[in-house]
Amino acid sequence: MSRAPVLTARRVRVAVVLLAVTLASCVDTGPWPLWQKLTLPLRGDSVRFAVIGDSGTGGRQQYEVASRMAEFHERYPFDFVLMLGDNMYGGEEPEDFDEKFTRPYQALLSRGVAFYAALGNHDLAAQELPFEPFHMGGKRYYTFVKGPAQFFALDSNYMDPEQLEWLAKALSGSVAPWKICFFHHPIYSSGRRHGSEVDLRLLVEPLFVRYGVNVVFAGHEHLYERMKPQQGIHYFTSGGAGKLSRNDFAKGRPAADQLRVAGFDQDRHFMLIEIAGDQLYFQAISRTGRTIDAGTIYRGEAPVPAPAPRGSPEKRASGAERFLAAGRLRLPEVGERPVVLEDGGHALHDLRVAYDDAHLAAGVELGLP
Amino acid sequence: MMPTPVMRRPPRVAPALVLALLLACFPACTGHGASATREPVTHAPAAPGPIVPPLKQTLAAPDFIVHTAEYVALHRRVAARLPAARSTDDAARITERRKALAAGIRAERSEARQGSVFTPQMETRLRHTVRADLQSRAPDDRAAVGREVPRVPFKVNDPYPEREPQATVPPTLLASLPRLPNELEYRFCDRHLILLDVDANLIVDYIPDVLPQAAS
Repeated sequence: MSRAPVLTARRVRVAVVLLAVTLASCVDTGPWPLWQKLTLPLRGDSVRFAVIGDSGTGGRQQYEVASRMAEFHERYPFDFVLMLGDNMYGGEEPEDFDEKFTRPYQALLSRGVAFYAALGNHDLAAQELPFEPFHMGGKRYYTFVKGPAQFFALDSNYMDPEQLEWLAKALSGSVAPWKICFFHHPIYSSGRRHGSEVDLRLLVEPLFVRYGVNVVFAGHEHLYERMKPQQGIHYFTSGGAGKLSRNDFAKGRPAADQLRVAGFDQDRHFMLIEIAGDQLYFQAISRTGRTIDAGTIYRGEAPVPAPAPRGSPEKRASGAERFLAAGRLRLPEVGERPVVLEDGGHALHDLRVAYDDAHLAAGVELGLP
Repeated sequence: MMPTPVMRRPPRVAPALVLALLLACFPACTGHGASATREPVTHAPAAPGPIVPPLKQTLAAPDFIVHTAEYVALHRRVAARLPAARSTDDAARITERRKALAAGIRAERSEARQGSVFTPQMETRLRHTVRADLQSRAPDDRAAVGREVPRVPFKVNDPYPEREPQATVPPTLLASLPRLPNELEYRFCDRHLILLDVDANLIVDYIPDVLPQAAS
């Protein structure tokens, strides 16, 4: 004899929420489910792009993320995609380029979306630098300008003094209101697998701070995380467009965990970004289309001091100071910029973040896949 | 009366030859730096400053500088026989050129052995540099140096294993090593420090067992 279902308050609540979601899906968003909401403002004169990292597996999940990106592109027509490295795992024969890049992103490529790649530790420079669709122009590190933003693609696998000096000069000469760096290894990360690249941080962070970098995107850790601003710079790790380190956060890295504002390690994801005036809007979206993080970065607020590097602070700090002081890297003065911006908000580290969590409610409460 | 023996100085590499090779193969030393082959797409970098004084470096390791310059001259000679390298969306053409370049270089230096570029003097110096760098690191950082390093057997003139990740060389260590022409990079493979031809993806030379057991 079967028992009659018990009508608990929880079940009623779930049923009501499901009903509301269903109705909202039909009424408000047309063919799009409610949880596939676009939070970006889509302003007329904005710079729009997507971000993917650690994408090139050629696996089913990479294809699913790619087709979700193409879906969102219909509503949010971004012009280009930043690739944060590990664009090609395990072999770079011609068929690999087809399987791990051209086919999954065919829908975007056919609509004229451009891809700008940085090298990861799984990437073969000899194959990828001349690959025209990656827009690297044969260079390990390069820069390009889109509207008010200047992008700096770095090769974090091999940060030699030559590259550091190029970065210092390129940043010091930039007059763009928004300076955005992207590369493979995160200098701030709570990821258990790799963590923060402290050695890299010692050398590049002083340049980022000195020359007013606003936002940094990195991959390598196969998850999503947004860190608390460090010295006014916003750091995102987005290394899960193909690979995934599921439950990575649960393993715990207490000191680094405190730096994390938002994180997601349950599925693959990608990011959408929109820059409009003094605002940068970001939205991180899971493979299934759920918004996992979103918000707005404004230019113009006081910096947050960075924590001391991991390990032996005296030894590492003195090492960096020795390196910088020994004349191995000559830092151009900020005044060497050819044009001084009139925009007062351009002062270094002037950023603040507004968290825009209201739209996350449905996805979080329902625990949608 | 015995004739006074004539003291002959040992033969030395002609300074002019060294200078010519340096000018040809170390664009960074001539003030062109990354602009030679690694210039940004939209921003040509200005001439790099004195990161590592080339003259000082040359005096410290003249044989190594000459050997790398000779290798790069060979690389460029072989590359000149191939279709010009240019960006293309045809991955097959890139692969074909890369493999042809590697095959050409391999054929031209078929006699190359371990130590043909890394001279004993340079080997000693680099071992010391790496050891000193590792000792300055916290245990976590030290262990990280040997993380994600391929553990595959190789020999000079082998391609770097394409399916394996490339070990990231710590930037502060890189800053301590002698600068290389753009065609070459230092990398780790297993516990060995290798000299990698980037365009050909070829292992040019290596110093065995540079990393201690614990770091690899």
